[in-house]
Amino acid sequence: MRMRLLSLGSLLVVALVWAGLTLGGVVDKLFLPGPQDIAAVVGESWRDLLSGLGFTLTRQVAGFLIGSLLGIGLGLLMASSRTVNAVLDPLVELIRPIPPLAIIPLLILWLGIGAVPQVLLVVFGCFVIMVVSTVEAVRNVPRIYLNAARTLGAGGPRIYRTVVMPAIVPALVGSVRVAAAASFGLVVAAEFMGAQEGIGYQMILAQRYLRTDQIIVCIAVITVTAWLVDQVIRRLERRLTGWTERHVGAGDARPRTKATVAGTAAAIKENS
Amino acid sequence: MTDGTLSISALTKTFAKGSTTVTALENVNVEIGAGEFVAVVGSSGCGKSTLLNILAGLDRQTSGQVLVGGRPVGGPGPDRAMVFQSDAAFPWLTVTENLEYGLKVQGRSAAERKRVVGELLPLLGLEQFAHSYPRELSGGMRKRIDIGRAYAVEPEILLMDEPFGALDVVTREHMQDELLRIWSARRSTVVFITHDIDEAIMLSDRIVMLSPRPGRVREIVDVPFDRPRTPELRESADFYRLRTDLRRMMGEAVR
Repeated sequence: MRMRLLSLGSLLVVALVWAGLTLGGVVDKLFLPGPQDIAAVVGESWRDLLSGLGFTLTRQVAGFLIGSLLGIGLGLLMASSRTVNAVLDPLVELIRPIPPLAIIPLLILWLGIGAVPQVLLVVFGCFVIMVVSTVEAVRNVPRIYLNAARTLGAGGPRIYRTVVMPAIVPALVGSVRVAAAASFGLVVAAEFMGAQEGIGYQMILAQRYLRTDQIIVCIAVITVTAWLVDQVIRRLERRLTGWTERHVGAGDARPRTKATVAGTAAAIKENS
Repeated sequence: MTDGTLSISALTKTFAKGSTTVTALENVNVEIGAGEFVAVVGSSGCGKSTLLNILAGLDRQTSGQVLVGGRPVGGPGPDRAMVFQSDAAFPWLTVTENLEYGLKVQGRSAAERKRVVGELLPLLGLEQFAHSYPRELSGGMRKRIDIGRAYAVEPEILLMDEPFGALDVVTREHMQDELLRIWSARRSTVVFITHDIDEAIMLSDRIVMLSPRPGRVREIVDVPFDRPRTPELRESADFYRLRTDLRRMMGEAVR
């Protein structure tokens, strides 16, 4: 409770400093707009913000889904066959260190500006994250589960389906969260580079017209959305991986008669 | 299907470790009859787990032969179900689903699976936890899932690799009594690996003692106690005498 008050307090201090600086006229509102400016922007342009967010989210979700599914699929394929792995692993290793943002100029050159290169950028980022973590997750499945399934008569494909797939879910959900968070950054960056709509595009416009207040509102909108999406995935995670949660052991408790050792120990001492 | 006999002859296993080869097992010969409970005892590094893995078909011998019911081992199979030292119950499946796993592999019908699980749950003392996940249960209960899952496929041979090694003393002895109870209801050949001499005496008909580096059969000892064995046996003078002798033997084997 005290810690929570302290945490609230630190937020409050930041808010007060912000209000003090801006309302007191210490800082030019061109650099740091005050709370009333922000509220005004939200009031006058929430429709534009929502429709912009709609565009951005559509691209982001499309890219995230395509990229993640491709990554997980290819990762599973690579982990299931040594031949496939030998062919694809060097290619994955080749593109893995490329910072996704670095390929933006290339995408624009090849595909112009529009939805396709934007989605592709998100696809690329999510794909790399998921393919690497899927291969890793399969490698980390405890041997004992595989051996147990084998001694019960299960063959390769069945073990893959009934042991490997469920065992990697917790690790994958963790990576999905990382990919989702990364995809927000990527989609906004893609819109900075070339777009006719979307939150990132609105931010670039606001920058051109020196509307610091609009920029801050856009940042807030994308942050809140990213946070909400993360909450949804966490909900999903809890449902999918309930079996990993540690519960208090039900115990092997059986009523036992209390044996006393003290008496025995004393008797032995007596005799010696 | 096999008849539950195990014949191990001139079994040798070597590992390549860098440029040197390590001999884990050397010329091991043991004959195990159907329905016999055999404990394999030895200090760590005597190759007892390697031996069990070869019997299970998870590992291959360098030379020698293992016959199960007269036929050489080709790979893992449900005629030789295995219980491992660490928890091997699938954590993403409930107790019932774990017990059913091997039966599903064999393609048994839902009705038959239900019948087998229905018989096993009370035998294991897990009726109330049929739909619990392993993580919700204690170490002893999780071990019972492993044992039940192995028993569900009705193996002729049960291979147990220090199954109670990770449990505390009280739970371990309780599980030994439980295993004897389950085993007396479902007689199968058992090969039980342990480094705990008390456990070996309490459970087995014969004790195969291995000496380490390289793993060789040091001695094969008949356990003279009648069945059914009760927990009181652990406190008898005869038990202590046998235990003392075996401990001395194991100490010599290490030296």
